[in-house]
Amino acid sequence: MRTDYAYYPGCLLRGTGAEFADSLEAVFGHLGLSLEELPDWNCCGATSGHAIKPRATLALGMRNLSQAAEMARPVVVPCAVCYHNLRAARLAAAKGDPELAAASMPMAPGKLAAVEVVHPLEVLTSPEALETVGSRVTSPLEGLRVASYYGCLLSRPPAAVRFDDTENPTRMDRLVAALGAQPVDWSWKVECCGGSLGVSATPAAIDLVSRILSGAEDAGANAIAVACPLCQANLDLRQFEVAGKLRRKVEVPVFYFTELMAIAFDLPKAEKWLKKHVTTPFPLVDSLLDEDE
Amino acid sequence: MDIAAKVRKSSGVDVGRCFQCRKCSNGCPVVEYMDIPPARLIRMILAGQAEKVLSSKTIWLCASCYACSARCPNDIDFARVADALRTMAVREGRAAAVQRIEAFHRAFMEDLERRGRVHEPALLASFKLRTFDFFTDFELGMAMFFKGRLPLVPRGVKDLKAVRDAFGLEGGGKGGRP
Repeated sequence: MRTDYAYYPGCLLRGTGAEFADSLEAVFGHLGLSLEELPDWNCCGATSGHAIKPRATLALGMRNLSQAAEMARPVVVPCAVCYHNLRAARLAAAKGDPELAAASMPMAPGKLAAVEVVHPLEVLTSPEALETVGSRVTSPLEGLRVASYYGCLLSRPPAAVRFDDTENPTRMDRLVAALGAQPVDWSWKVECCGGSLGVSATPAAIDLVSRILSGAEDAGANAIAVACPLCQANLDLRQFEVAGKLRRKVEVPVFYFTELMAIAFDLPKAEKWLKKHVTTPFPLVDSLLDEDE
Repeated sequence: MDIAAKVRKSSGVDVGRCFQCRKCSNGCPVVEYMDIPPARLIRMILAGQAEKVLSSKTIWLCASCYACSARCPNDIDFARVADALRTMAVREGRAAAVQRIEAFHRAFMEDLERRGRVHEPALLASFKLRTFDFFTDFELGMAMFFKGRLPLVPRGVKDLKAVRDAFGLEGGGKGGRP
């Protein structure tokens, strides 16, 4: 199994989603996997880039890819939005995108298209990696019923990302099962949370979030696992608004899958990251750890 | 050039392959907020109704979730079509049918152009200034602040010239209003 990776954290992992970066780095370190940050990465453009400035966004994506190409190893991209955009830039380089004629490229397209852009879930769910993960679990997450939420950009569009099955991805489900938690079967794992509209068309986003949270509760989940800082923020921060809309109590803690790994591995800093969540995960996490004793 | 040809030129997507199965409209998570469902918008592109298409709310409300793109039996990537239409509307200097969404995209790209990376508090402040809306999400912002989730110091890329050069490709100068 490959152990050295280039690393593109992205803006949100250095901002509102810092717990994702911190927990990912800790978990990779614990498993003996190294992450070396790209020397001077830029923002991937998120949704706004391809929405109004597609040429500039492609050129910025190429700039990130060229740095990974120079490091000559696969680049790990944890944020689903960045992952999608870097994969899209790679596909554009491979296929000769119409917008490319106007975008300057820092390197030959063939070299850019050869960069392996991987999500940490891909690294962690090979049969060999799952076995290693399982062997490092010291506090199995028994009693945790997890709805694995993949959202849009990890698995769509399939031509660009090729992450897993498009409509029913299972990588995160398999990972949480290896941690001793019970993955629940539910219908909303690839529905959109409205992350790109969260600030600018908030009522629509609250609608989408309420469907996802209700879907997880109806399937019997007591936690949601995510792999994207926008999904996490949207699902975690908007629960009080969803409760107001549905006129009932809504409280489903939303964890990054890497935080669940850190809890199962008994990594000391997990508590610090969880304190940043707005929907408190503590009664649930404490009850899990109590049962161990 | 008619609008279908323009879409094909800038996105590589041939909307002429649509046979109106409406999988895109049926699976769209935000269709109830749109004025024209995606399948009908495609039909209108083919009918050459550029004016209605480019002034629709639909092109701004598309959340770029790619559910339609993944499910289209004819490989029409509607999310990319929406990108092409939005970009066309911006380059033509049209007023967006959903101004808050356009304001957010512009605030985002200006923040990106300034530092090469996006700093959430600066982005949100700039969005609020553009929309004169200072109270929405105030509670949420305070919750994030007290949880330590808002980074205080912005960090940018070292090679800012490369970032500015990328923006230069777009034409029309800095990310300001057309």
